[in-house]
Amino acid sequence: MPTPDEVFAELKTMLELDGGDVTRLVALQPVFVRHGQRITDDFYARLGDNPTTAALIEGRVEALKATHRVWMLELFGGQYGPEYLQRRLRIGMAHVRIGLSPMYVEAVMHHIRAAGERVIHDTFTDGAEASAHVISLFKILDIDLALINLAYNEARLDLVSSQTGMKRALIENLIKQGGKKGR
Amino acid sequence: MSTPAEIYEELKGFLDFGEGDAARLKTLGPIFAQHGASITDDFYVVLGKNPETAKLIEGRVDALKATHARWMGELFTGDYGEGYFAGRMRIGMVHVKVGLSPYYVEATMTHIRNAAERIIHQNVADRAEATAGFTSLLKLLDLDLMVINLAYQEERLDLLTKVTGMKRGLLENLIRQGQKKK
Repeated sequence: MPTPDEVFAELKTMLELDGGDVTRLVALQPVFVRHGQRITDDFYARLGDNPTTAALIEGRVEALKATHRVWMLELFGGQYGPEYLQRRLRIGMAHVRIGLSPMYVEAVMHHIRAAGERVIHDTFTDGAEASAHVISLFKILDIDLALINLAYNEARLDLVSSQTGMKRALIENLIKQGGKKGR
Repeated sequence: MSTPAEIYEELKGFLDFGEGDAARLKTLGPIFAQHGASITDDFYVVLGKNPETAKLIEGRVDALKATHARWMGELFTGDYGEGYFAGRMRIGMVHVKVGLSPYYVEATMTHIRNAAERIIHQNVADRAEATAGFTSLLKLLDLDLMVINLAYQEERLDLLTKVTGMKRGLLENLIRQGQKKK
């Protein structure tokens, strides 16, 4: 199994997150400082509409909104190194601890992607320039999502390991063997 | 535990995926019939550049391109019911069987999403209409991704069940108990 650092490096290469994207993401920061609060508010309104997620956020919406805002502005910080990776893995693990299925993270990321696209096209008069900025935003959002899911899958197998006493490597091998048998 | 089919319906609700989206996706069909092949070609270039994915597609790129073109065409049929869901679950299971980590699916979905954003804005003159069409496509691509990931998680636990002899329900319980302890 590749380490999270290796996966992170591979994701950046595979998604072609380059210097141009970093420049565009930094340029987007003021746009999201201005419109981010509304995106965060809509995001929590949506979580409140679903019974499963509403139960998880009840009584701490304001604190979570502040955390969400920090997460959002870090997208535009221009620094996507080891510290960024660690922060994103911690977010994934926090989601596992509260028992949130990753599909909710994916579902709400959809709303952020869609709201981001709209805000960017409303801000830039040139359509091609807007599209280029949207694409840079999508790249970093997808990296975040992949890292959160990675942390989730890792933590989930760790739970099976701690509950059964089976070593983590053994579980990985069993899954691999099962995969071969299942072909 | 909800069944995968129930989760699919819940996800559609959560994404507000409705008839308006289905109609907008249908109208995007001709644009992707025209430009879809270039997205598929670019997609396989990206997969070919990465050693892990290059290994998986070696020697069968043309067959896979045909499957990919079919997957893309199905995005714009306007029908997203049980048959669509079952087809997407099968795609997820195929990915587990070939040993592909879900993050590759996520990473490559980025390229499709980004290419689609550009193509829609280049071909739909009204920007608000382009954004609305693209948002509908985003919803469906995210639904696809979630179903593929769901299939991956299901299949992975099933494989563990098969090899260890532990019942699937027991594994789910162990995970839940572990979560409560934390």
